[in-house]
Amino acid sequence: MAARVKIDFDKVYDFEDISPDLKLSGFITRLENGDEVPLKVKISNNAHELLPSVYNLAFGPLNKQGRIDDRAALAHEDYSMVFSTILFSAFAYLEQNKDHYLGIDGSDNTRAYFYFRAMIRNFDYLDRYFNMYGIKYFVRISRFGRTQYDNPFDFEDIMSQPYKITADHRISQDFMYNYFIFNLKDKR
Amino acid sequence: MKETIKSRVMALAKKAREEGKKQDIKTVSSSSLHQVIKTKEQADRFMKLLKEA
Repeated sequence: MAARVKIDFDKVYDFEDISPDLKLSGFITRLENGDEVPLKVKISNNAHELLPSVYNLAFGPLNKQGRIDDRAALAHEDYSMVFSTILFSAFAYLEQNKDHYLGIDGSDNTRAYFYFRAMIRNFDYLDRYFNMYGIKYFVRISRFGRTQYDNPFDFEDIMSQPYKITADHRISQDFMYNYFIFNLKDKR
Repeated sequence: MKETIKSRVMALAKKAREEGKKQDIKTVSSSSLHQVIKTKEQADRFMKLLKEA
């Protein structure tokens, strides 16, 4: 995956299609080998049932079952334009839904680290439009059991801790955030 | 916000209203946050921390 992405909302692909609620959009990316591949950007239809303002953002090509494959690895000709287009779509949605948050996982550690580096490298630009947060998940360790074989981790008791991402943010790839959330900077 | 970006956001929203078609496309993966936050207490605590961050 490309190391350097420059986000610029003035350099985005044209949207081939967009749903009335701005939750689903599509554009065509050109790959390094010259192939053109349709990409979809999807904001979940429903918010988390317990977090009514938090929606998940996913993007990728459609697989054979017609689902967005957010694990696909594509060699884009212009990564900057691809990610600028995805974020512009997200920004347009948030402009129409100013109290909402959008979240993104990153399908593996490498991908999550790529997103984080892109946020830091483009922080001055993105900070004009978004508040950005990295989320860590912490598991409760219960009092140690009666035997050494007892599992002390209570996976039903997990705390999700958000950290606001700033220009000088540092975190190692090995301990990358589990999830990223962003919302509009200017809600006027 | 730059006026060009603002006008392009409005143009996209207009295109969505006038030409947009509703489609139901699913994703392969679901979000980890959906899997981790399972109780109202966890959700309320998370939103409080998010707003204070």
